[in-house]
Amino acid sequence: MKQPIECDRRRFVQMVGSASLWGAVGSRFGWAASLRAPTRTAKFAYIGGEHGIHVYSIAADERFIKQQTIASAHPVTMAISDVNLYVANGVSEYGSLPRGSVEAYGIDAATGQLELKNRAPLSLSGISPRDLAVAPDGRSVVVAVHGGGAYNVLSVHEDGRLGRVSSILKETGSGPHALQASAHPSAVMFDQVGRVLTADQGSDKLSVLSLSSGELTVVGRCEVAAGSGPTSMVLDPNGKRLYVVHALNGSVSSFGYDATVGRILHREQTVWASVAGEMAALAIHPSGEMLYSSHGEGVQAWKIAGNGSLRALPGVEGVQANMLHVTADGKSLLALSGDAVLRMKIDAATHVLAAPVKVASLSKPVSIAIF
Amino acid sequence: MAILITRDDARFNNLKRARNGRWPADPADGISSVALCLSSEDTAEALQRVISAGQRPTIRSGGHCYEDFYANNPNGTLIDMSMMNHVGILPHDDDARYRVAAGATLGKAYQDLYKLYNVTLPGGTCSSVGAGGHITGGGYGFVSRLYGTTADWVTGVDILTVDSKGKVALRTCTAKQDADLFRACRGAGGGNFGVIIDYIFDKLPPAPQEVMVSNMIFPWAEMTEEKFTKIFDAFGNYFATRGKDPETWGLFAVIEANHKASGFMRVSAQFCNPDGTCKDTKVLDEFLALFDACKPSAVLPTPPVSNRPAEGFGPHMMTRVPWAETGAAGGTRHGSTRAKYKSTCMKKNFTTREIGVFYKHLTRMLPGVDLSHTVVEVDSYGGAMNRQEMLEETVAFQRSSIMKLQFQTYWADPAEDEGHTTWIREVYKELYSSPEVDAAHQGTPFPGGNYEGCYINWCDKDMIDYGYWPQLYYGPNYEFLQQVKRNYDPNNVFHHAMSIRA
Repeated sequence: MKQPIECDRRRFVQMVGSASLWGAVGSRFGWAASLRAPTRTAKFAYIGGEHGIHVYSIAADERFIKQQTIASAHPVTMAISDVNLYVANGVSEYGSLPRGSVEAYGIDAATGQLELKNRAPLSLSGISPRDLAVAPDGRSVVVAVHGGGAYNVLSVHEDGRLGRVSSILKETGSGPHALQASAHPSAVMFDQVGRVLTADQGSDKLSVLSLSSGELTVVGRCEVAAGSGPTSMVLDPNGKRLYVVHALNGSVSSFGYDATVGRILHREQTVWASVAGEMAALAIHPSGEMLYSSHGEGVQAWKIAGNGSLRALPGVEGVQANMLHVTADGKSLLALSGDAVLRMKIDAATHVLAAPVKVASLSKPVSIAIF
Repeated sequence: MAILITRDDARFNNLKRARNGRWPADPADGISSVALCLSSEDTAEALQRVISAGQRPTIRSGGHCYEDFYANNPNGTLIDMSMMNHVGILPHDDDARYRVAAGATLGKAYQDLYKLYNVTLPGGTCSSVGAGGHITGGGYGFVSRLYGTTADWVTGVDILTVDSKGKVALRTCTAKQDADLFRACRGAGGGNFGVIIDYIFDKLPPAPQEVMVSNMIFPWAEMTEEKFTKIFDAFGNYFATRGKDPETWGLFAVIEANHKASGFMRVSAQFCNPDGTCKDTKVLDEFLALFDACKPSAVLPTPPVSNRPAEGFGPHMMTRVPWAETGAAGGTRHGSTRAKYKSTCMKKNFTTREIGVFYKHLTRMLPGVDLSHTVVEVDSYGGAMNRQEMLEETVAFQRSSIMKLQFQTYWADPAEDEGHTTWIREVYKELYSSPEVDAAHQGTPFPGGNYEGCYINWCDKDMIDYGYWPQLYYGPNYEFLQQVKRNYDPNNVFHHAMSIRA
């Protein structure tokens, strides 16, 4: 099955994971986590890699110490909800049928170790999922199915186990880029009132969806620049501005967002990176004052002004990040690169990034969550 | 506008049902609405509405799909084509071409084509099968050895496709227009590229004036393994040798190897000469004589025409039947609600080992499982269906087969699901775990010296456990079909468990 973009080279920021770092225990939402003071020091990191999920304890000096490796088929994205870890398997076949799957793991709060609760299939043709997010009530998981061109909702049982797919939203669409022959949902996240925001890399489309009784319905659509390939997105801490990274034209754009009605407003600004390609990653600082992006060649830092506009600051060259992740305490930016997890300290006053330090070595890391 | 039947409609529970009672396997996999379409405009409008709503469409013509291809569509919409069943030359069609709508049953098509034009479709053995899925899967039947498959005769297909932006469009694909899609529609099977509206035929073969039909009954009470072996060997040897002579192509024969629990086996035959008459029955006599030594308990006309007086015609009992009456002779074979099927295309006569496997499993009893409606049917094949020039015109690659096997088991009680599916899987696996199959493809009739894969119209989801399943159904044509899929259904709107995976 041909996939336009190699999943192990996927580039996007997973909103839930990126904002639940360094102590945001139980926080399911980036915007919520960023508003809270950390309740405890983060103890464990979960990294999805080529051969499964790697569990690390986080030392006082912030080194990652491997505790467990658990087999998992292409864990392309993950999110923590209470003491459960949900992982999407970016595969094109499960149970001989053309579909991906999602796994639910229980987290041992003392040791950080994972125990598989169950693995649930996505809908027929739901191949190569790319992102997932857990609903505010913890009872649903929404999955962006990149290969299958759809969104799936899976129910979550009281005990954290995954139920069956309760809703399928099949997307159509395309764009002028060679990688946009069909719809490719790439990112999904919840806003402050529980609506679902999505980005479709294949059809240059952002969407606002409502989730009610396990059913997804379209609230509104927003077309972005043709051929840009919106790949990932983050909301600022007050939930009023949406930042989108576009892999295919190497840009980052910002939009106003009205959470009260669930509407993406006009595009406010577009800034350009030096590289366009198949990958892009995005992360926002909990303070809402900095945005970090990567298109696979270095990490770019963007100062967010009071009016939401972006201004480039010195970044870090040579880091080929396929995912970026700001810790919830705002002190570090983590980058997943080809064979390592890199940490870049963030200067508290200037937000300038320090040189990267390797905190873990593993093959092809693609997803991260912190407990 | 199509008639939309939703859950609150009294008709919904009836209209949502699949013919095979196993589907949907879970009620939550079922549809939420049925769109009854009365015209191509209706169908386009209904399809567009489904796409725009982010739903998935599945399509039903006659509803005979063996697997869950249209029934498994959680909260989706079933596009029902059964009321689009026109057959004939449309008044506005200047080219005077025959049209058979997707929703027409084969029985209606036979009757209408015969009465209006004295022509016939070559294929189909069950009159309630819908044209929509049947023809695009190849479609063969009683006179296909004489005339080829129905797909061989198709010269155009009206089909609704969905473009990359999600817009529905009606295409007429032919050898000159969207030729790749046209070829793909001739053999790929239903539910792959769009919603087929009409099949178009520039010409069709003449309906035979009459046919001879005959049944030989072999009670299991009188059966021995030696006799069983002789029946299979005689049948297989005939179609591997004498049956290749064009003089015999008007003969269509079937071994109905019912399980021992049913009480009897049957070999049946239908025959006409290439000129569509039965003036000379030498070929049929010759065929029937092969089984004399096996001493059938009775040689009878087939049940649907048994109200006609049987005629003594030569040394064997036969009955003379007008063609039009045979065309409607199919229908639901057993009337049971749950079923499982498998298929094999065979290039050579049975081996002794294969016949032994059949005998073993057809005489094997399973505790608590009623196998009285379990059968291995062996259909004659070949003749005009093996015209090699059709390899390039269609995607039906099985053009060297002499027999097609259809494994069937029927039951009513869901508690027997496991027993029946186990029986059919075991006999199949044992048959093809043999020296006749290369080491990499054990357990399947992989195309090679003895076999030619499986038939997509007798779909079998078990086969997708084998990574090479597309080669079983499409041989060397799968890559071509994947490209057609990318071209005409880039968003994979039309999909099911065994659809083309681009």
